[in-house]
Amino acid sequence: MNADATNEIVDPSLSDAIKDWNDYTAESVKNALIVLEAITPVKDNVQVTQQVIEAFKNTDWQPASKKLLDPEVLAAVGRELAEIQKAAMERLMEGCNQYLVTTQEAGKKFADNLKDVKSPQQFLAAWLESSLDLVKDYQQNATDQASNLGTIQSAYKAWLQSTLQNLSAK
Amino acid sequence: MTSFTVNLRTRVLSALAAAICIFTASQAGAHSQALPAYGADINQTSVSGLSSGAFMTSQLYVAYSDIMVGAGIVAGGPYLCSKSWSLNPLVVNATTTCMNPLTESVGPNTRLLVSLASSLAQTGAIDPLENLQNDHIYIFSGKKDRTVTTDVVDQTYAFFTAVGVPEASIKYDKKVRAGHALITNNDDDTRCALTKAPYINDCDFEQSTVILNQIFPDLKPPAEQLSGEIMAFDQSEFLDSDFTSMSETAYAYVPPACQTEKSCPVHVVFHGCKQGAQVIGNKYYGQTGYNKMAEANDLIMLYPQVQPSNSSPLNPEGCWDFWGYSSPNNPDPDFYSKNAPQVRAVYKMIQRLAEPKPEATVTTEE
Repeated sequence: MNADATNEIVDPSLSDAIKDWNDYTAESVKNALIVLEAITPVKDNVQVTQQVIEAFKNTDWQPASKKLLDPEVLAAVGRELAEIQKAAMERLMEGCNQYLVTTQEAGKKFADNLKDVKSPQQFLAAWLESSLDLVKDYQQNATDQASNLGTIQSAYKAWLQSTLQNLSAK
Repeated sequence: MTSFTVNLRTRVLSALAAAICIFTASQAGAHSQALPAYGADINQTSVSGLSSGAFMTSQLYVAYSDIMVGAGIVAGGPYLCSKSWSLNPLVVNATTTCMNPLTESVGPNTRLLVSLASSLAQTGAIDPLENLQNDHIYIFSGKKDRTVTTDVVDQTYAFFTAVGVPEASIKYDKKVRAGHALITNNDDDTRCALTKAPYINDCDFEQSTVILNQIFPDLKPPAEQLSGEIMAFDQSEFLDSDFTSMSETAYAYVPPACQTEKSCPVHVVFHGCKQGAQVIGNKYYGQTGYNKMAEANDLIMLYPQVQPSNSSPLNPEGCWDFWGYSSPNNPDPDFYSKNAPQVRAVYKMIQRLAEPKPEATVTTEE
């Protein structure tokens, strides 16, 4: 069977849908390689260690011992932590809600895609396109949620350092 | 490394990778010329930029404050921001603390940053911070910007006042309902409140004009049109590191008067992530209003360029370096001092523009 004959058999919408999936797969592989490139645990640990040593060298611990007994200071420290916990919960809830929104919208999108379907191949193409959209949307939700977790972790570390900094301030 | 950090990077980098797919044909050309000398007035230099370009603005501005008269920072955090919290790697601070921190209290650690900047000035790694006190600064944060939030930009204002810039010398605008973008008065650009590529939004005023008016008092309004052409020049001759992520070609606009008889100030303009010429063509260096202000007021506009890079240096979004990617093998990277790879490259371009005009050119023009 030559190429022209194949083109007559395969609906163009199905060819496009398969091409979109192929493109998505290729892009995902590329993204995965970039992510692998970004993971540098040894360098990160050395970097953090150097930064911590530098920060501790510049910290005067004498005031800290006195401030630890100051109820106002301790209340402020607790308040900041409570704010972080509240904001963390809000961000995580936002992320969870976004999953629900994506799921709700997926059904509507699929129904819209089926409107002009006239053959089994077009049905398959519509299903492939809708599935790809859904995968992309879920992936975006997942990366957003991962980012939220990263931001929360970063915030707790910042809070720890901020607390020590405030306690040691004259 | 924890899974959180991996996830964070996954999110940032996968979003970044999407941008790579929209590369337009390279603007870098085989035809770009060497950047000419124009006898520019190096002591009247200024700089502005958006987002990563705003962080880069702070770096060039603070590092070389000897030659600077002002800066425009649009949606950018304070100098050294990614060094805010020692327990986080620089890239984590850059993508959390310096962009959209969980709460204000875990945003940029300005007290520490001022102290670090003072130490750098004492060692000569950057020019004395006292130089900033006579300058004029513009700062902007859009009310709808969730990429670099107002909490972060507030700390840019706090940094500059802490190092002695009078409040009266800083114009801080945070009233516009703008997304994360450079602002124009062009109906064809993105709607004001959105955050969407190419991150140039129509909010009914020309931000480039406001920035330049803040830095240089008594400027004329922008020209209706340009009398010359924007120049593409060979940026690679200024690069002495393999890891800068800077493009082969950059751009400049030099009004006719600055090419011949006048010694003009240089204004450096830094684009943001996903905004280099390789990604969005001439939209940033040609369509944001800077050149028309240059034309009317005899200013030289210099547009250094960064391009995306997927490995060594890892810069998939084509951002300016404010966390250390340009020193990939160094756990204590220098991206902020006079000797930082990108900072020193841009300074060399300014130096070139300030070199005396060649005699032959002057004779020909006259």
